[in-house]
Amino acid sequence: MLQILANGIITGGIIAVMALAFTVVYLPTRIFYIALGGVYAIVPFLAWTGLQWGWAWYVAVAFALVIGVMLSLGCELLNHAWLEEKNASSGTHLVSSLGIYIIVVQAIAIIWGNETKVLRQGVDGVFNLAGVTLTQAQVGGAAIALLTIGSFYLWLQSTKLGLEFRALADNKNELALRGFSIQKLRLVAFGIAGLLSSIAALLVSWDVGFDPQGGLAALLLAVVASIIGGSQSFFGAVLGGILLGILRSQVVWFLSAQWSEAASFAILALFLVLRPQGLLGQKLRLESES
Amino acid sequence: MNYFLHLGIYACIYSIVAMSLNLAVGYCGLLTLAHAGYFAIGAYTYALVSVKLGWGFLPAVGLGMAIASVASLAVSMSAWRFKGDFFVMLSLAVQSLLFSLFYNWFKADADFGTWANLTNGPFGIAGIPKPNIFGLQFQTIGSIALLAAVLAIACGVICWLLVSSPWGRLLKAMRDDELVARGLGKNTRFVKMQVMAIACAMAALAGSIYAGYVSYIDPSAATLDESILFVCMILVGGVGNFKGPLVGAVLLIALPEVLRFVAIPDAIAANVHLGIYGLCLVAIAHFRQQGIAGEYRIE
Amino acid sequence: MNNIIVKQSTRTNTKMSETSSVLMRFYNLFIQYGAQKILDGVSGELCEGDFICLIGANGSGKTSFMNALAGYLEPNSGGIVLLDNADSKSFTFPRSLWQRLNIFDGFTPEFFATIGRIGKTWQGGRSFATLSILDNIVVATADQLGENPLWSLLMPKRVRRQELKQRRAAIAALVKFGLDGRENSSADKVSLGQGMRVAILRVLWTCARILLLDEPLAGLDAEGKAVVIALLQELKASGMTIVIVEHVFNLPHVLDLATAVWKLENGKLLVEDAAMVNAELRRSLDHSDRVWLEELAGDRGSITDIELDGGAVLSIVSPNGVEFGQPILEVQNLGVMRGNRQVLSNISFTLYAGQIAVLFAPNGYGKTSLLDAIAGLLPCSGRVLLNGKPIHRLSAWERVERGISLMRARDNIFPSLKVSEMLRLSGVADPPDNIQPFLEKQVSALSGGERQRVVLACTHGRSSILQMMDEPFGALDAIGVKEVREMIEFGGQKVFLIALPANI
Repeated sequence: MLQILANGIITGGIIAVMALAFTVVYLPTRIFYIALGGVYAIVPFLAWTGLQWGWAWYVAVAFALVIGVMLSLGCELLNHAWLEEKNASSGTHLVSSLGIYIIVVQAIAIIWGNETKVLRQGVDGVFNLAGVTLTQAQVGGAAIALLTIGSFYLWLQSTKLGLEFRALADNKNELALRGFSIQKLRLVAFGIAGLLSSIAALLVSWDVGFDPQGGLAALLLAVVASIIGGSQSFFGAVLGGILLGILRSQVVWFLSAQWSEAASFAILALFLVLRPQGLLGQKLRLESES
Repeated sequence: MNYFLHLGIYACIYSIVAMSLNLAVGYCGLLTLAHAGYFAIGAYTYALVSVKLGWGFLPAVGLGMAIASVASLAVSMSAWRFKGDFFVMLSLAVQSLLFSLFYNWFKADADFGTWANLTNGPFGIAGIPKPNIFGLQFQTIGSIALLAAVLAIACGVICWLLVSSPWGRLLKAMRDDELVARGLGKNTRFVKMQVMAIACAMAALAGSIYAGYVSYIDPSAATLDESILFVCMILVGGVGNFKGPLVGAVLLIALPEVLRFVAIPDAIAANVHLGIYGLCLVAIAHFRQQGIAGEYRIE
Repeated sequence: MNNIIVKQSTRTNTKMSETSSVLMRFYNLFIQYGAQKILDGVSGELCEGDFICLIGANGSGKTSFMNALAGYLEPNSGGIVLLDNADSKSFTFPRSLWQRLNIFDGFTPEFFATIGRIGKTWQGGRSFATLSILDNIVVATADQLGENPLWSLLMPKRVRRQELKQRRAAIAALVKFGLDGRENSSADKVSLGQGMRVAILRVLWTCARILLLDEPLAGLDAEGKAVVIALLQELKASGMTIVIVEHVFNLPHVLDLATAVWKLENGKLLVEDAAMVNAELRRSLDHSDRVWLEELAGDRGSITDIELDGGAVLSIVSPNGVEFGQPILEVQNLGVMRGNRQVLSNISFTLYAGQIAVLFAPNGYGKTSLLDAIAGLLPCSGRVLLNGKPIHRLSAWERVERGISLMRARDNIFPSLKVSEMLRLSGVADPPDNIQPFLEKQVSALSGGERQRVVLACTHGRSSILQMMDEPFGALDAIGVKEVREMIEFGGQKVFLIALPANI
């Protein structure tokens, strides 16, 4: 019982990191950043290539993270910022993001092929904590996820840039009227999203491996997490992620791993019916309000 | 000659899918990424009842369309609460679920078509008989091409009649301003259910024709990639009128053929194909939101 | 015209009521957003033939209240009852989960429209842009056979017959409404006045017997207003029940027709006598803002009035006589589009140092759009120059760096920040005394008055050469109003551009 909970919290933590990445772009800009799945997909391949070239693991990881962040920044600079200039609708942003995702994934498949790869060889070390068995990858993953989320919150609440970021999520126009560059802050948002999703991708691929198609599934989980946690706040995404991880691990235990996708959908449907604003959200004005 | 008939059959199949998505996306603004799932429902239903129960084409297709209509509730109910971006994500979740069903409803030791192993999982169902309407067997490629064309034209006519009817006018009003339409007493949620039911039923019809022609069906027809391909088809071709979806369907057929002439290695041909679509989507978003020949700009 | 105004219902189960009966009752309605109480226990009833004017300051909850009565907004608690002779349908809030899931019977606008026969119109009309005028009307017909996809395919003849009958009736109605010849025009190509008439006819076509009209006169010129008011008179004469929200400057036109006045103040509803409110209003309107302008001008100053396209007046006060030299703000041929509609066009004026410009324009003119466009929040055509240098290609934050400042009327806070943080962002080093008490509270938890004080304090954070204010006196208390006036009077070389609501 405790084992399932522990497994759930750990996977939940990683989902939370990805959910945070998605929310970091969605809240301030209302852009549905599907291409984030592309960043998630390509980063493990880059790290793998670095390892193939004989680099030390921290060099390969740094390389992958940097490219991931640059790719994310590229999405804003070369795509979304342009569309924003033309006052494009949110549907247009979504379609362009979907296009970029497709291009990235197909590029991965062409360069690296379609099969699943792994980042580490051999069997993983195992720890035993209070009757719960955890692999090295799980412990490492949990620690890094915790560190990442913690640093993000620290940054958000205590730094000047973090304050500007929170203000951007609240009211873009009023922030612009106070002389702050919205352009610069959007880049910050995309950069952080790129970094967070790269970290999540590396944690998962270290644990179970990776393939070109994994990005959209991870993004879907992230979006579900942010909806059930409350899509109006950054913290909601984290809470939703952990909750989703716990619920999924229960499903995997009691049914089978094949049904975990369906289970995520069922959980989402349940929330949409019973509590559409998510756990932390304020009661949303009814959609039929003019 | 057979080569062109083969292309023609695919053109008809994809035209039907395009017209169905035209209703959902172009008139209701519901960009759904779950359509391949309903295509597969039609295909699998035709496969199962014709192989296992010996049904003819029309009853099998009818059953497939009925099941798809009922299953469309998953998508239309998502549309009640969520619009735009989140609706796309929800349709993605439905897609995930449907694919999961086709892939996982499988038991190695049981015969397919039974409750333990309905879809035969990743092995798919082979040996699907060619269409048979009241004893008239459509065996040659020419006859199937004729059947496909007749069905595609029939769908086109029905869509045209629907769009020019008061129901079609109600769709346009809803698309313009849903809140005002509701204030006039129109039950827009119910109308969205109707649109999705019709669109999914048409997708199922296309799927049945596909299964009848290719004689083999497996979960690869229900993947997200297929859904994305369908959506790309109508976004690039355009929605909101009749030219757009047809242009989209023709382009979907023509592109792999063109690629073949450029001698792209087979291993990556599919990837290049999809990659070009990705590029088209970005181009459309930046320069021509109504697609090549469409009328409705994505909101 | 009577047989058009009260359209015979195509529904088979309604009866015409003989005596003045209660059509709708609402009790203890309570609406709250965060810490803000919009409606605080509002009760009342609507009888057949009533003509109610709903008044209250901007932000007092008129729109929310109307939306609740039309089924668009679910109150936090209370109840609404719809009555039709012996039948009644009541709704209590909050709705339970099962009630919310039912799509065929519930607290929704479509249900209120069909069962309560309530029709709502919006400011500006909101016609269906891709339909022709005729289609806009005919689409509103209730119980159309053709609106069911199955019947439209299987029974085309009957559908066609019904359709033709409706179209003929609609064309005749359009003629009587002064819109003949325009049937097939696309709805987005007609004037605002015509659009408003189409909207009213459309809602009448649903056989509504209660009309909720949200600022129907907004943005109309004098001729347009006259037509709509005449229409309202006929509607009243034929027994229609009407609740109308209008801006305070258009009220005298409609108060003559009103049977009662509902006043929303501090979340409470007060019923007042129409004649008394009318008289009081006429008295207060005489004391116009003109007096204040003359005070600003003083003895040595002058006031220049410029008429702008679309029916607005820009009154420029030069406290020290007419100034020449470098203009501070030049606006040349400014145009703003909102969607497909041209909201502003051909706006040109020049302001010099120390001048105070007041834009008097009625609701719906585009005051907010103008100020937003100059500040860089909205795209616009034309040219804007600050201190001789063009700024219309710059982003909003770049314009702020050059010395532009805008105090907006709505959507002007950061809900999730603390007050101290919001002040810090605005560059306010020393928060004023009247804000000290709630410095560490979250902005969303403040009351309306406290919020306005914070917004006002934020304007002191940056020094600017052009200070724009959008309806600054709207939600302020007396102290706040005094503070704004002092800011303007002692502004020195600063240029002020202020938008105020006005009658024309």
